[in-house]
Amino acid sequence: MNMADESGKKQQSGAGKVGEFLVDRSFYVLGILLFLGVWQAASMLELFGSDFSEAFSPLAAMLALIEMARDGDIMRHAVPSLRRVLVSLAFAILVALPVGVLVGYFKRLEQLTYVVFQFMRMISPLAWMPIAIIMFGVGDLSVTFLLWLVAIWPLILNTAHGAGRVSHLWLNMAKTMGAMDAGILRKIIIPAAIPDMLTGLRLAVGVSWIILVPAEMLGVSDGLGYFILDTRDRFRYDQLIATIVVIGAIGYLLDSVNRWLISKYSWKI
Amino acid sequence: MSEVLHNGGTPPKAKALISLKGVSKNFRKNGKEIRVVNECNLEIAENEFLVIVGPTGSGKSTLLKLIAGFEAPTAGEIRLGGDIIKGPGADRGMIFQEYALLPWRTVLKNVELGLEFKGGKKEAENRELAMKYIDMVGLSYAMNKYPAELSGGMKRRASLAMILVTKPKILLMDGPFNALDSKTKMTMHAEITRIWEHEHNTIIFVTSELDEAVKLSDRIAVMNKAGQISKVFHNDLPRPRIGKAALETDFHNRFIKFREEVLNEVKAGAGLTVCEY
Repeated sequence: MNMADESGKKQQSGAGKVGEFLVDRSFYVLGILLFLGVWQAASMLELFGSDFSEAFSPLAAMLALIEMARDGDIMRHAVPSLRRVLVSLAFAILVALPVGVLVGYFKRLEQLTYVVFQFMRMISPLAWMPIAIIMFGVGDLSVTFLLWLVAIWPLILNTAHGAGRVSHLWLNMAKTMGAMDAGILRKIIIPAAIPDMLTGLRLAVGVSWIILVPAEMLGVSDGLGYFILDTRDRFRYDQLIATIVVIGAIGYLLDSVNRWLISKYSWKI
Repeated sequence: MSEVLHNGGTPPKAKALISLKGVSKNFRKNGKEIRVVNECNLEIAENEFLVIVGPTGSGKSTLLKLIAGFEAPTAGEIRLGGDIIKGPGADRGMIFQEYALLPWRTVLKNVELGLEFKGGKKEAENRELAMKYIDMVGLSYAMNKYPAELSGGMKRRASLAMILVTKPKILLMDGPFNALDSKTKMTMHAEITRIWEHEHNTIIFVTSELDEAVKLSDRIAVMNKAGQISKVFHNDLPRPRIGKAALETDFHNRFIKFREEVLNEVKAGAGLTVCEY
């Protein structure tokens, strides 16, 4: 995007700008086409083995995708997956924002929690899987819990970082203006932390979406992770590949939303 | 140090609004206890324009921070209307040496901040008031810009509008015009004098520029390197001191003479060293 702006400036005429923009765009599209071409060639050369190469081709995946869209399989499994991610994210935000603001604002609290938080952050939520099942049983609740557990760390740590950036000058100024704690929180600390909160959200969404698939292989009867295993059991490898494509596409869309949020609500010093 | 009256000057106009009694402030630096403000006594009357001058490192800014309530004195007491100052408050608006603008707000929204904290008024009223003060500091053309897009002088003027709009009873100003070009500085001198005469607030103004001090003040307190108030001068120059009046020979001669006296006092205090404890 920035590259497009830069090179656009060099071109004086409006037509040149538009042309430059189209060239830039076409390279993005070209990348996708090249990827599909290599993939198709690989399956035609039977690089995935003689038994599977046909089902593994992008062409077969596209046909399966159309079939799944028509049968409603995509919606049937994508919606529960999205729901699990969004519900767990909502709970993660609910916990992480206040904790993050407090930890970022009070130095002692940061020292108190630093080691524990960094330690917890490094544990794959899948390691908690047996414990989740013991606590919540097999099903939705366990999956949501695991996703929640993976989302809170980037949210807490980034929010804390943002709240820690609040300048004492701003706080002093607010106090001389007669601001109360609630006003300082609402008009100084939270807006100051927003860019970092959004970065935390982007990381949390990314890692939640990645963990979703293995988490849904945990005894639930819908969701994209479940459907991966289901297609395998039915020997529908074309549908398996199509599901992988859907997972990637939704992940990309979620990240795009986050990038848009960041570009819209971030401020610079 | 007791107060020394200059050329038959009168004591402070009215009864003291702010009084400092034996105020000292120590800071710890490299393991040593350093006294930055040293047993200062001072009374500031309501509606007075007091300027504090002194060489760098004489504790002027620290003294102002003590009055603002950002720092607590190591010894002595500061009273405001009889009560000991315990922390910052809306009655004392501070204009900082650094810029305190919020980077995520435009100039206009920054100036509105103090009004939002106060609450009570409608958004449109706040906006109108904010725009009036932005106009006063000559920033109307940039009111929708973000701080990152402003020059140093523009930031300074924006911070000024930000505090002035809240109409604090007491204005604490720490070198507020330091970074301005001379033309803007002159405008600001006229503006601050006009605001002070109009709003009847009390101003405590820290600067290292004597011209500014002589032009603005009712009294000038001189601090020395030891962190003491070595002398307090009464400024008897007639007002207005800006514009036509300042060009008259008689006024000009008195201005230069008074400035010289203050300068000698500052020079005498600059040779001392900071106390170490």
